[in-house]
Amino acid sequence: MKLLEVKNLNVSFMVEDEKVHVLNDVSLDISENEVLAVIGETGCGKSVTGSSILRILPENANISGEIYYNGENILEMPEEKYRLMRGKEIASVPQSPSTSLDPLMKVGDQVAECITVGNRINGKEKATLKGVVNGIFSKLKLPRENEMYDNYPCELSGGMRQRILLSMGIITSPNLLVVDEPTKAIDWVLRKDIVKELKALKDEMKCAMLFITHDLGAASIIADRIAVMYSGEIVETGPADEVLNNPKHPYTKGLISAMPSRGLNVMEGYMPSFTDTFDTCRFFPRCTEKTHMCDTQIPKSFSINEHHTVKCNMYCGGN
Amino acid sequence: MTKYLIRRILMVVGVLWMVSTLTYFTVHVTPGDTATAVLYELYGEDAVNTENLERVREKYDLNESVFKQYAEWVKNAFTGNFGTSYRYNKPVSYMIGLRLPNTLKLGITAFIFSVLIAIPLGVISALQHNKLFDHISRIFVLITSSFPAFWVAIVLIIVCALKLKLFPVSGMDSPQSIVLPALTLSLGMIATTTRMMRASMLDVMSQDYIWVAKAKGLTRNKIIVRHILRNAIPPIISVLGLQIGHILGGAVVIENIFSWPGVGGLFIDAINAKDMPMIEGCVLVIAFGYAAINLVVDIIYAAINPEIRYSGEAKK
Repeated sequence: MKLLEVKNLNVSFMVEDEKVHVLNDVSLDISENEVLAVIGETGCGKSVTGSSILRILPENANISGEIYYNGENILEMPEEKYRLMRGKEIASVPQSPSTSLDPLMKVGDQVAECITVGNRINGKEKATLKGVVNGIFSKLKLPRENEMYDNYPCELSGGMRQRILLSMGIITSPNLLVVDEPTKAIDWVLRKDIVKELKALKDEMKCAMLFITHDLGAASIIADRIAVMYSGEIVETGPADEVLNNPKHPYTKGLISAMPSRGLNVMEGYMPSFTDTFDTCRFFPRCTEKTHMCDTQIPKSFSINEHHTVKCNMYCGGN
Repeated sequence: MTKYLIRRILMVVGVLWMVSTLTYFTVHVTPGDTATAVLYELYGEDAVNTENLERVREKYDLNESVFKQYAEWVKNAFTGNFGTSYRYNKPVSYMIGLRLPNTLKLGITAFIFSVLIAIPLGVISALQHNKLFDHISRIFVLITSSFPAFWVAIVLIIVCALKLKLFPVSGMDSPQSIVLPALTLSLGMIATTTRMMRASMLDVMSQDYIWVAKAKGLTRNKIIVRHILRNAIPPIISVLGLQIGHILGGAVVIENIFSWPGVGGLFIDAINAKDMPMIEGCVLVIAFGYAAINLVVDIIYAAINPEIRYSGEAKK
């Protein structure tokens, strides 16, 4: 059984009486101890996928589909039951370290909050709470880990804040960690280090990870499998090596050739708006490999092999 | 922090000097002769004759140039002597000392009223964003802020005092006397504070760290108390500081309507009689109150907001 299985997830938002479809039939799965990287450009719906799994969407969101965690559909679970799982079994590391920490609360207290929720720890453990938090800080190689607890976010650098966020994610030893753009606000020199540390932590904790990023370099270091997202749809899924070295979807090919190490060939055009309606492939206007059927037919998912699927009309006759 | 405090206190002194100077010369250029006004106010029209006028001018040094009079006043003010009221023939500090506690009582009660009503109203409106409660509160705020205070005062007197006989019409004879003037005085402040509190809450609720708090699995109440309110209150403290200034100014009008024996009544009488030492005394009290409260607000703000606290220390 898969640890997490998302089936036909659709998410839309009501914005000024207009329905904005952000996720369209998204299906993905993660096995235990596996890292699935969801890659795509900014605004393609990656973070909304993460928020849907955590069930933290704005009030104007409309969500349908199924999300199974250990065989149980979390979208049908009562909020109170899911709240206790949130942060404990499915934890998250948010993006933007500069805005994700409460500016008026000591960082140590913010990390400690993750384990004082509900009855996650008993009274005896509460007394040693500071020690537990400091332990996590030293594990994440935060400098001056014993003084770090009493610092406010404004006293820390971007990299330190990112590590504080990371410690919030791992302090409860979750089964699934949703990591949203951990390298976004970080110096590119430090990026590799953070991703490598994440990988080491994940191996140590033996947890599964949904790694949301637009940084293919980071994904190539940590991911077992990659799901490529475009305009609210998953267009290609497969083992990381295969997707990166032998991409099938024209969008994936475009993303890879836009990497600095592959020549920085930037794709032309922009992602369509979520308010648009589609009767063709969403990537059609930007596609460099479109065929005669692309402007009449919405592509379906096709299997390249047992583990590799792609949503593109090129493969409708089999590969 | 000490350096900051000294700088701020010097600024308060500067503000008081500017306010008093402006007042002195503004009152001086208004039409009418001071001696005439004093005689007229105290003894009626018949007392205004050349002999009496000269006597008054002699007594209060009104024959000197305005600059000399002003210089004299400033010199005395620095030694704590704010002069003698022309109208009451008693020291200004004594008269103000007599009335100020009443104004403070009214101001503080109005402030407490407005905080007790506005903060919960703003908080619930934000939590019920765009729902029925929010709409009702918006209409309530619109109504209270649209009506002028003196009109509200008259309506309250007619309805609550004359018809329903719930509260006394005016004066300060019983503990209930304070309710109507304090309520009138607080209305304008309730409107602004409610809207600001709501806006501040909504702003905080859309922040990333609230998403993070939810992702930790915290209960809704814990998120509201620990993260939303804690971050939404500081901007409101600044607003409250400014609002207290309005209360002090508004008290002048409201005290007169309700015959509340505070500084406001003294102030209006002083203006009518061109009682310069008294006018200056009242203006200084109001300006000092305003400046001091805002100084306190800034200190509180720095104390609760680490970002300001640490940037201040870094500069030092």
